[in-house]
Formats: sequence, C-alpha cells, structure tokens
Amino acid sequence: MIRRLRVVDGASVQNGAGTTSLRPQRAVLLGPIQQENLALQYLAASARSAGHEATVIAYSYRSDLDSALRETIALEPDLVGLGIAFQNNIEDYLAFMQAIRERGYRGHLTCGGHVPTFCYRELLRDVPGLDTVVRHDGEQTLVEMLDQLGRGQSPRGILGLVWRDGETITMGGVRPPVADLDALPKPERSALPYVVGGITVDFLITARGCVGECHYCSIAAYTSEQQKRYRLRKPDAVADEIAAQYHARGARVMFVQDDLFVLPSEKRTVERTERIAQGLAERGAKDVVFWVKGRPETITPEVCRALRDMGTIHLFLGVESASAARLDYLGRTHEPEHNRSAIATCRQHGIVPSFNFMLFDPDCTLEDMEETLVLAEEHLDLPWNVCRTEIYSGTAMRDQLEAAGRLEGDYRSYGYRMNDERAEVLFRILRVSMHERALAIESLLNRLISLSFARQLHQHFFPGSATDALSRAVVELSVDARSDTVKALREAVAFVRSESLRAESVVRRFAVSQALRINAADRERRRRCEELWQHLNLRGIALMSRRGVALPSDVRIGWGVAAGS
Amino acid sequence: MRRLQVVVRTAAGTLPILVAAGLVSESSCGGMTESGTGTSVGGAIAGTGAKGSGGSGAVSGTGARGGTVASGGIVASFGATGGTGATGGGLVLQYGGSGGGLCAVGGAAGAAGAPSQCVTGFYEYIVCLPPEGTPAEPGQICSATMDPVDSNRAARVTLTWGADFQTAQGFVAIDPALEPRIIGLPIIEELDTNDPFLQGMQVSMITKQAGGFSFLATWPAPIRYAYYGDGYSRLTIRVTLELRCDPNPSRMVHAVTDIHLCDGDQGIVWVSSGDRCTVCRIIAEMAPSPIVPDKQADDLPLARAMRLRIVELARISNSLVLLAENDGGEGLEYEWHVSAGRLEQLAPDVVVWTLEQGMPDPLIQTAVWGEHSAAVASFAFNEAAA
Repeated sequence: MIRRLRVVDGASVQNGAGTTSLRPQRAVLLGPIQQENLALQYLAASARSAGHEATVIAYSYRSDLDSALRETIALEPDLVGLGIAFQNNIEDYLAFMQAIRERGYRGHLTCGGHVPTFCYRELLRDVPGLDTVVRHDGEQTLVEMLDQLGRGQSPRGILGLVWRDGETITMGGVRPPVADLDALPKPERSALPYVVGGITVDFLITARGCVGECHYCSIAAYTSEQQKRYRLRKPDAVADEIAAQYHARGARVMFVQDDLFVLPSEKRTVERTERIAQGLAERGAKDVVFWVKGRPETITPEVCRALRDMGTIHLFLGVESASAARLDYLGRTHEPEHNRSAIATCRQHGIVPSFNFMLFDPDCTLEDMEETLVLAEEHLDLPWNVCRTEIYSGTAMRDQLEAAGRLEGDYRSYGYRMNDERAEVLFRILRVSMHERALAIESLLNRLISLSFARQLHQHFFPGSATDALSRAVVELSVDARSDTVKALREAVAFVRSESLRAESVVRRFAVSQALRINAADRERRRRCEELWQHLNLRGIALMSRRGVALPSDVRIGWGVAAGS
Repeated sequence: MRRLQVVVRTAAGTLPILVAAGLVSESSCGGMTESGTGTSVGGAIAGTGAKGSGGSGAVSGTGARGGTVASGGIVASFGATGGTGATGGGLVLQYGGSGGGLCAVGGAAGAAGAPSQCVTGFYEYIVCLPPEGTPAEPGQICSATMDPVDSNRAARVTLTWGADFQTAQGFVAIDPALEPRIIGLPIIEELDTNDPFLQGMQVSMITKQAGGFSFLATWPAPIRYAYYGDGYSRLTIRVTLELRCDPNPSRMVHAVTDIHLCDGDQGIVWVSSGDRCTVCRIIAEMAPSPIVPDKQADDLPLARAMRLRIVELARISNSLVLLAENDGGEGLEYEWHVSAGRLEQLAPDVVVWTLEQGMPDPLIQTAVWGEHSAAVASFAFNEAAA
C-alpha cells in the first residue's frame, strides 16, 4: 500500500522558493563508514553551507541498528537520509527505515546513492514510511529538500527527487551533474582518524564517474543517465584538500576513492598527476603516498612514472579475468595482454597492483577459469582475491539476464545460474570450501590485502633492515596462502571435470573436506596475519610518534580501513 | 526449546572443573541449583553482572545464580560480576580476585567487577537452546522451519516496581528488526517461578509503545522481599508474538525471559536476563560475500546457501561448550573436528571441547549439511578467549 504524502507544516503553503521564511533544518545522514564516507560528508557539507545542520552517523550493518536508531532519534532531525551504495545488504537499510518509523520518527525520510537511483520504485513500494528517493548526485537536491522543509513544505517538484503524489510515484527528472566539483562545499572528516600500520590515512575524491561501460557495473548506468561520464576536480583544488589534511591531521596517506583515477589519455593523466604533485610540493605537503585505481589498458610506463613521482605506491587494477572471452562478456575494453603489461609496468615502477579475479559470471566456463588461474599463479606475491560477478540494479548485465529469463531473486538479492553446469557446481563447492579463506568479509585473503598495504606503508616511511624483515614475513605469508588458494581452486576444477555433477553426496563431501583442510591450514596463517597486523600498527604508532606525529588515544584501526575496492 | 545443563565444581585454589554437561528436558530454563560450602556473603545478584557494567556491588560465588534463557545460547547473567560478552556471551569461570577463590564472571566483554569471596561447591546451570538448525537471529524467524519459533532474542521483558510491592510496570522490548512486523498485541504470561509468592501474576493494560509494549503486572498479594533472603526468586515470563512474514503466512514466536528479584545498589529490583543479547553479533553478517538468493533445490547439488557459525555457550577453565548455530533447519548432519583436545558430543549441534595444558592454538571445526546445502565453520580456542 502506498502511503499518502504527509504535509509537514502548513498545508496551505505552496511549494516554491521565497513564499515563506526559511527555518534551518536538521538532517541526519547514515551510511557505512569502514572508511571515511565522503559521499555523505559532501552532502552534509552542502546542507551546512546552505544554513542547515547535518550530522553523519555510522550504519554499516544490522549490528549497528540499535545504536544508529538511538543516535538518530536523539538528534530529533527534520530529515533522515540513508546513503545506500551496496546492494548486498539493502535489507539492513529496509530494516532501519521500517524501525525508525516504528520508533515514532515523524520527520522526512529519504535515501539516495547508487542503489536507490535505480531501485526507487521498489523502495517506495516496499517501505511505506519512505517519503522520497534522491537519484544521482544529491548535494543540490538535498539542499532544496531541506529548504522546502524549512518553509513548511513537503519536498517535491525537485530535479533528482522521486516523491509520492497521492497513490502515485512522481519523478522530478534527472538532475544535471554539478559541472565544477570544486564548487561543492568541502567535506569534513570524522573526528576519529583512520589508521593503517600505525599511520594516519585519509580519503579523497578527485573525480566522479568512469569512462568504462562494464556490463556488471552500475557506475556506467548512473553516469549515462546524467549524460556526463566523467568529471575531474582541478589539480590545485585537490592539492589544497590534501595539504589541509596533511597539516591539520598529519595525514600522510591518501586513499583516492574515485571510481577511476587514471584517465584514458596518457598525456592528460601525466599532466594532471604532475600538477597535483607540484601543488603538494608548493603547499609543503612532502612525502604523501597514494592508493589509486586504474584500468589495465591505460597503465603505461609514463603513467606509472608520473604516478610514482606523485607518491603512488598502490594501484587497484581492473584486471578481472585473464580470459579474452570473459573480458569481452563483462564489457571490458582491455585484452589479456594489457593485464600482464600493466602488472609488469607497475612492478617496474615500485607500485604494487592489487585486483579481484571475477572467476564466475553467467556464461563462464572452466577453461576461462583455468586461464585466470595461470595469471593468478604468476603473481602470488600480489594482493588479490577471487569472486563471482554479482548482479546490480541498473546494469546491462541485469537487463540481459532478465531478457533471457535467467535473472533470479529481486533487487534485494539478484542471482543467476551459470550456463555451464560444471562452473555452477564449482561455485557452489567454493561457497562452502572457500568461505573463510576468500568469500567472507573477514576472509583470510581480504585480511592479507589490508596487511599488504600496511607493509607497503612501512617500507615507504620506515625503510631499513627491520622493515625488510617484516615485509618478507608478510610476503611469505601471502604467497603461502595464495599458492594454496590456486592449488585448492585447481583441485576443485579437476573434481567437477571428473565427477558426476548430480552425485549430491560426493559433491558435498568434496566441498566439506576441502573446507576442513583449508580452515585447518589457515589457523596458523590467521594467527600470523593478526600478529603481523598488530606489530605493524604498534610499530608505526611508535615510529611516527618519534617523528612528532602522535595519534590520539581513540582511532579507527580495523582491517576494513585498508580494504580494497 | 532444548535445555543445556552444566554442572561445575569450584574449590579455593584450583581452577573450576566441568563436572558434567548434557541436554535435559524437564527443567525450566535459566535455573541454577547449588550445594556450595563456601563462606560467600552470597549476594545472589545475578543481574548486576548481566548489565556488563563491571559488576558494581555484585558478588561472586553464590552470586553466580541465575543463568538465563537465550536462544542461540547467549547467556547473560550467569556471572555475578561480569556481563554478557558481546562475543556471544556465555558462562566463563576463572580465578577470582582478591578473595582468592574461584568466581563466576560474565562473558568476555563484560568487565568483571571485584569479586569478594567465593565458595567451594557444585553448581548446576541450565541454558536454553534453540532447536537444531534454527538461527537465533530474530530477523530470520520467517525462514525458520518450526512453528512456533523459539527466539528469546525476539522480545525481552523488564519489570519495574509499581507504587507497592503488588504491582510492577512491565515492558516488552521487541527486536528492532521484528518491530514493524508484529501483528496485534503480544500475549504475556507467567510461565514458571521458583517462588510460590510470585505465582499468579496477572497481566493487563498491554499498550503499544515505541520499541515494544508496556503492561501492568499484578500479583494476588504484596510480595515481601524477605522471601528473597531464603534464596533467589525467579520469574519466567513468556511473550507470544505473531509475526508478519509476507508473502508467507504469519509465524508465532515464543520469547522467554528470566527475571530475578535482586537486592542491588538500587534496592530490591527486578533484573532480567539477556541484557545485552539484542546487540550481539548477528548471523546475517556472516553471509558469504557473494549475493546468493535463497534458492530452492534444483537438479544440481548444494543449491541452498547455509549460514553457520560456532557460538560459545560456556567456558569453564579449559572446557568449552559450543553450539553450531545455523539456519539449515531440521534433519541436518553434524560433524565436528578438533586439532587437539577431547570432544564430547551432547547433541548433534552441541559439544564440550576440553583441552589439556600446553596444546598450542587449538582449532575446532564443524561441518553441517542437509539434502541441498552444506557449510563449514571454524573456531579457535585462543581467539575466543581473547
């Protein structure tokens, strides 16, 4: 049932600017903050800049539900907004929206982000207490909503907004993207610093959008509606923001959260990177290191040189697969040889690339996987993990599967069955056997990715024999775990090749036995991983303190801070 | 609902010993009997520790009364001095403090207070467990296979004395995930008590409030707290909820709370078990990172994803009582493996794991499978103790 729109205050007041005086509004914005949620911080900054109040509250998982509800209600907000970027835990957000209404919240309830941009109809259908949905970039939309609320009006008639109109849902049209990202009010940072390896890290957005049109990715769908694929901030503005964090908080490490940092044009990438580096030098921000993202086909020696000169030590590389057929299916624009050349070039320039192998997709075959395992085995010392291609709303892959009658589930949890039965059974086996090794959030391979970055930071900031020894220990542990991962994957591939796929008990026994073996072997690896992580953190804190960069007693120092993309 | 019985012997100067553990059926949940011979002043204040606040004023030894009821094996108020651990709670017995004896303290996350004196004797604890293959996470009740569903985390009852000692203001706190799906008003009833003076509780004025339901509890006659001096008084209240599970039919849920009459810093108060249960980690967080719809069985193996974790129910020195919590439903096979130590299986999904000194970093694993699903989870003794 669709709930009718409630007029907040003064039903006779017509919507529109200037009809009544504006009362400043109080907004609470919620979303995950394992890393700094700059998307929410940009929204909050825009609201504050327009004279309203805004607070960002952590809501990462259902375990945060009680505290998030309490904190939100205590602030008595006029507007509550949820930033929903990930589709895999959308149920957590549905639970929050339902619960806050049950707790008596009567203000405006909205949500935005990649998922609501595409799932607004479903969300408004399933959550009667949800008043509106914000599509695409929300800064200006949020300000206009708060302004309308401040005049006693219900938000409606706003570009980028979807609202209820009686029993119907009305969409206000696509809001044109902000052309000048540097004109947006600057995002604040959380009071608690984020720390990796004992060193303060910060987060940064220098661009929005991506040039790619990957079939599985919702970013391409998001930006195509905006008719603006990619927007860059000016290098000087980027340098300003970094320098401010450097001098104010001692931030020496920048996680660049852009969907894409390295541009398709080598020349433009080099120029932009060099200008950022020069801007940092001019602002006295010396020896800042960067974590950025790039596409394999754009990684050239010149690009790597410029990236390294700026301070880049880590590149999250969109390798995805070593199979040409899979890359084509996924809508990637690179070839397998680009993967190898990009990895090699990064290595030559002292940049560590990391990647996720998308082993499974709806049409993959065992042969495709075997090609990718060869590449994986060539780079056991690099941080990587494996995954299945997931289906997100708004993507070409979702639409293709739906058209073919292969889409399973709904927007809360899409799925599919692979065409190749052996690939499908292989995935089901790995869901059992590789859960703790690779697929769980706290999996060993995910932790090793975080550990690897902490190691890199120590190599950069504290070079010497002690660091070299620690670094060797991290690499040896990582190689050991990944070598065993490749071995286990090959065993599983061989199993599904040779056995009857419908022998339920045989398949189950294989999966269980493999899981027991992997988990038993990983016990010592996990212990060692934890030990090294703690050691690097404590050592980093002590060494930075000696340099006069002391940390406060309360910091965010979990594994998630250094997680990959 | 199943009941786990744990018998522990304590003696000054030695570690507590797990004497026996097993599943029983006749006893009520959350009870405790004792045959101690110690000299504890015996405040018998279970609930103070249950709040995990450091146990101010709490007493160990005979104070280790209460026990609690919690599906999923979350144990709140065994300890007089600690609280339920956020890691899943559980009974933890270890050396006491200045008293020099052996004291019961709460779960790992509950900061232990300063135990005063402890006793020598035998202690028997009863813990309620959900049926096999039933997750304790209330948000997954709709997917449970039995009806009614036992989930003590779904609702928790608290009482506050009224103007006299004949009435109490009650509140049923509903798990936030369930609150929007509750149909109508709950049924609130006295299920059991160990004190005849607490019998005959009448419930009236059930009213919907933010976060749950308020009600008025009335007894036939004023409760004289002097009775408390003869031993602890326990009241067990059951809440029955009807839960909307669209598009499927609604489900009935039973949630049981043990409430103890305690003499604390605030005077004579009601203290409810499971104080921190509603904020325990939830099984949903353990879902595999791939987004896997809950498929029905098809013509290929392992169609359904199962969520599984090993939950610590109790820790008595070098013995752990563990539950394989999962959402696979009934009729599953359970297989347990240990890297070291001795294993005793109390039920397919409940084991006692005992280690000897000097066993480095031991690991236990459980494999659980049904016709169309399987899962394996591991649990490290040392990690859990941290």
